[in-house]
Amino acid sequence: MPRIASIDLTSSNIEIQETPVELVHRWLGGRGLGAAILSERVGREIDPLAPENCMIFSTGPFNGTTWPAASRFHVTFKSPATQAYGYANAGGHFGPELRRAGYDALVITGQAPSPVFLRVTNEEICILPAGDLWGQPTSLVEDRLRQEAGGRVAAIGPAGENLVTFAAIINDGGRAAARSGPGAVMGSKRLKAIQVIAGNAKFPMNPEFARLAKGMSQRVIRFPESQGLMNESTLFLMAIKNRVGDLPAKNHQLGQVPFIQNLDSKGFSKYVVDRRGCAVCSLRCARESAVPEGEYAAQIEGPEYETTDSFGPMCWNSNPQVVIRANELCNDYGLDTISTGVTIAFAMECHQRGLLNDAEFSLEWGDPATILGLTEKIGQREGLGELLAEGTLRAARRIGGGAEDLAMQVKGLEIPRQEPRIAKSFGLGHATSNRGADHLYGLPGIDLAGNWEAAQKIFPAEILPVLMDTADESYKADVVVYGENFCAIIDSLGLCKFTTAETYCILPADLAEGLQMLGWSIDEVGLFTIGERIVNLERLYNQRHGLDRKDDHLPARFTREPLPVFAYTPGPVDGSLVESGEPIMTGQIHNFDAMLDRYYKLRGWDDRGIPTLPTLERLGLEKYHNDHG
Amino acid sequence: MITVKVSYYNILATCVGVKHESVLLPENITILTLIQGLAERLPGTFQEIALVNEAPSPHLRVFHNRRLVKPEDFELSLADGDEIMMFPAIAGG
Repeated sequence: MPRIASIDLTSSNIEIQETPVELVHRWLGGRGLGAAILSERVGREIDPLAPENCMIFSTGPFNGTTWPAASRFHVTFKSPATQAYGYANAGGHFGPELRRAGYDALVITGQAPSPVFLRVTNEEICILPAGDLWGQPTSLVEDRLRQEAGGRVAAIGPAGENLVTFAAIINDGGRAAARSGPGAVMGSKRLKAIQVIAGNAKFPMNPEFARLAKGMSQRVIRFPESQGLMNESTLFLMAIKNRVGDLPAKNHQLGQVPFIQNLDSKGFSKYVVDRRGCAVCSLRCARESAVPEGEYAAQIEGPEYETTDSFGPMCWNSNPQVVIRANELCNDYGLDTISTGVTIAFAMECHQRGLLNDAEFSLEWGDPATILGLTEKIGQREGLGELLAEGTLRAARRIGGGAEDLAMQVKGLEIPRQEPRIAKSFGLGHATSNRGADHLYGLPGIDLAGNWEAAQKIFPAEILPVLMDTADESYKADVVVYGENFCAIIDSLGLCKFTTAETYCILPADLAEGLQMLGWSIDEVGLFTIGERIVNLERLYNQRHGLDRKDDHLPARFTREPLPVFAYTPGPVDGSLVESGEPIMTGQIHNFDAMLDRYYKLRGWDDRGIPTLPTLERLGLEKYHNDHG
Repeated sequence: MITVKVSYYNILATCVGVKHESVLLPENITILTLIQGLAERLPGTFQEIALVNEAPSPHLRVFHNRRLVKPEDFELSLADGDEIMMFPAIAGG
């Protein structure tokens, strides 16, 4: 039977119990399970970096099986970035290993008196000294622990030890549970790493489930929308986003760059040395890239689209080698590449506007020494890095002079790499996400992807022509609400969104069928009720911490400054692009409040964004009504 | 001659200048020929999104009578009264 282990690092007490069946039936696993446990155990009085904060490493019912892309584990905690709800998840092999070792969740509290790591096996959990690993990069920690005992490792680097608010957990050679600061919480507990060793343990599956999973896997490979990811990785997005103005540049002052040919999948292809994939995934969308020598010598899994935009266009850097090296530094220090790149871009715009100077770095747009140097300084919390390690919002408040308008964040978390004036569903989703700005909270891209085929299965036919118009704001809330509920299900089952909410290859009904074959009594409607319940519980957690409508807002740039979009044509010299003299269109949010009003109405929340009692009763959450934690 | 209703979405509509138009076309024209003709008329952003080496780009999503046109279906002939929808296909991140 799957178990939940409670580990108190202060007392070294470890308790392991069978997972209550009613708990997973109510919350599925993964993200839902994490939300349920955090809500019960971490109130508003607890500081995110206090020993009383919990870290819940959780798996979902598909982890450990052969269901395609069931590779992701989840970690839930009170966030040092948002000071409220936080979570992150990552692919690779760690999640399935944890599930095969027999755990639905590791619930970690307390603070070890000196650095430790956890060794988790099917038989026992040991708290072991990690003094010699403290201060070491994540790659070295993983290598050393795997050489000693095998298995899979998730570790923090110096950034987590130094409590950088956007520190990440790195597993499996460069996979990152990065968003909203889990590395800092782990560092505050003096927990350097978790090593899971499942050995040859297999997760029991019946033949019908195995057949269905195999069929799904084949469907994923053949699916048209999978081809870009399979053939080019997420970098296939760079060129097309640049074309339409959805490639944030210069801290969102622009949405395009003239040097895209350096940074698209073709530009990076000369550095690709291998193709990689997560456990049980037929997409194998990752690339291993290497700069073999020179001042930017590095080898990483990646870079992905989000990292490339963060350290490329956002910082006005046209050199792919700098992106690869910055990615390697983030992995070794244990930093979120999105927040790190966006924070450096913020510093550069502060400098552009005369608000910030530094004795060590020029802070000029595109300067490789600034980009790579600040990445290290942030990880070390030294020099200007001490300020920037707090993230853009808190740094802006200390800088003053209007810097807060230049902080591209929501709820204290830096915005991922979509342009809200072009991809308006994503813009609304960044604002409403309960873990701060986040493209994966709802992945509301059905309009941006032109996925009419999926949309007509979800939304009423009469609204489709308007809903699928990315510029029309009337039904963006509908796209976000559906996406958020679907993503809560996906995160709770332990799945990757590239086979589900990104492409709509595997649909909710398929997930319900898979669960039925694992013995669950659930259908698509039941799944969506759980998804909605999870989003509402996360909202209630934030409500407990004083968050409401005022926190569901985008930076002023997106509602005040129109974004010009230009046509680019190949120029006469070396294929570099020439910008059209006049913009061909303008990206603009016309009435953000109207989108938010509709979002609240569809959710059954009041006009402050607070779930109403009837909504809570419908979802079985009425005990949280007026809960102030 | 046949009449086909063509709907353009998002930046493609910006390029064409209208969201919908009825287009008069020769009989037996294929979906691919329609797209190639539009691309020839609209060099720059439309052409770059629609075609790669004269073939449909992976970043163009086309629906014929509200059904997705798969790569092998671009040679299908259009009929009078048909509806074509064209989207740029961009994923999230």
